Amino acid sequence: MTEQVKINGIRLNKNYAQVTHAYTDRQNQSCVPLYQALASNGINLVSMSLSTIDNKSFVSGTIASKHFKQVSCQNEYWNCHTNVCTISIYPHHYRLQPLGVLLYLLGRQKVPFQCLISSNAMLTFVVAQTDCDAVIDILSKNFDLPESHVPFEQKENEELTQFLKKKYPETRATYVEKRIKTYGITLESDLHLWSYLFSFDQLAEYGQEIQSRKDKKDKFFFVSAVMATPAQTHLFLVTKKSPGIPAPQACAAELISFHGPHFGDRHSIISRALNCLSEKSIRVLQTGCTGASIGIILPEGKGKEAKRALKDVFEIP
Amino acid sequence: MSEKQLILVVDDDPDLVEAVSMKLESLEYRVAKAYDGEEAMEKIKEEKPALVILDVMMPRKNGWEACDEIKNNDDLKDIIIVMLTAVADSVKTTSYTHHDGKTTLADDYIAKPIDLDKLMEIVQDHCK
Repeated sequence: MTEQVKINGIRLNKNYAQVTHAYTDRQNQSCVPLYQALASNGINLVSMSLSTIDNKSFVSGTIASKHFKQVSCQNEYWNCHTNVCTISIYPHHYRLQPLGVLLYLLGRQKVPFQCLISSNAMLTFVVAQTDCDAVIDILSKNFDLPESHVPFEQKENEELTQFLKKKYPETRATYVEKRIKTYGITLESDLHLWSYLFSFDQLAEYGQEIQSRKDKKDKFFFVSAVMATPAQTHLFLVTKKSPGIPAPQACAAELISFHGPHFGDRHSIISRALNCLSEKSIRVLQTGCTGASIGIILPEGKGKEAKRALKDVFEIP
Repeated sequence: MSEKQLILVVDDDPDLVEAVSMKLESLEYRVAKAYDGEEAMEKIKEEKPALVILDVMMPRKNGWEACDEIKNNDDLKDIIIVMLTAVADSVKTTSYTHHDGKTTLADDYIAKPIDLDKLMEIVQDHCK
């Protein structure tokens, strides 16, 4: 892997906890979904990945460390990891190359990640805070970054925040809207969801395969990945054409994606989206949210109905 | 628009930068991107954009500081600056408002959450 892929930046957010809830359909009937439980406590999900396409479904979400005590004892099925951070590279422009390189690097360096999610611009993944410096170093050396680039770490600094609030009329967003503003909801049809379950040792190999798709027409529409077990990676890739890597599981799918102001800073947004689909009995195959973006993968033919349902909760300009 | 004008979009939220850039490109503007105040200043000096869409809260150098630097530099002061701010009402109490005419440093502002169509109207007004 000699050619460096051009990106514009790396972003880092520390002091998070990762909460994962894996369950069977039978268990699901008797428990409140993780995103709903967090929303009812006013806890923001910084990023979230959800999958329902296997017998064992899961929701994995990243929350601020300060909320960890609130959630750690709530549900015996929740698996919590403290001291994690999110790292994002951007922009991906939906190219398979940066995705492939990222997976290759994480695999080659044997950096386990909790989950990986795409947004409009970013590929965001969650790693242990102890691995953070090493990962930033690897990314900085292996991606073609602007000379002036400095990995941006978003720090919560109360003293500085108070000072800036006094000096400048700017603050972090904490507002709640009756109907949530968006920049528009996009529906993409004729897609395929490819599901790959493989040993973590094979991650570099998969990354290499993905990045070798150099045809510019080959792009992804959505990606998420989780560590199914400490030794197994589950990768979900949504593309128009076959990515050329045989998948044991694949299905026709549609993607609804949208983003809006301050989505990443506010609680309950993903919960309201999924609740309104659930009320209309619309099955969701995959969901990923990170930053200001939400992507929802639906079975083929369900996109239009889902878009209509979302309009009850979200404002479309 | 006689030729494609260059607009610099500056925000530390890459998703927002992409969304704004796509909208500008659909209107046939050329787009440059920066993700913090320092990077913005470098691109402004190198590429001399016609207009800068500038966020306030950013790492390394915030939007107000970058705005001051641009407007106090004889080579750069004619570049149009549209500030993105989270609290529009408060902006009116500062010197950075288009309501204050002569005391204005930024040329215009738009409140977050941004209405992309409104932002495009502002850009088109300034780039006539």
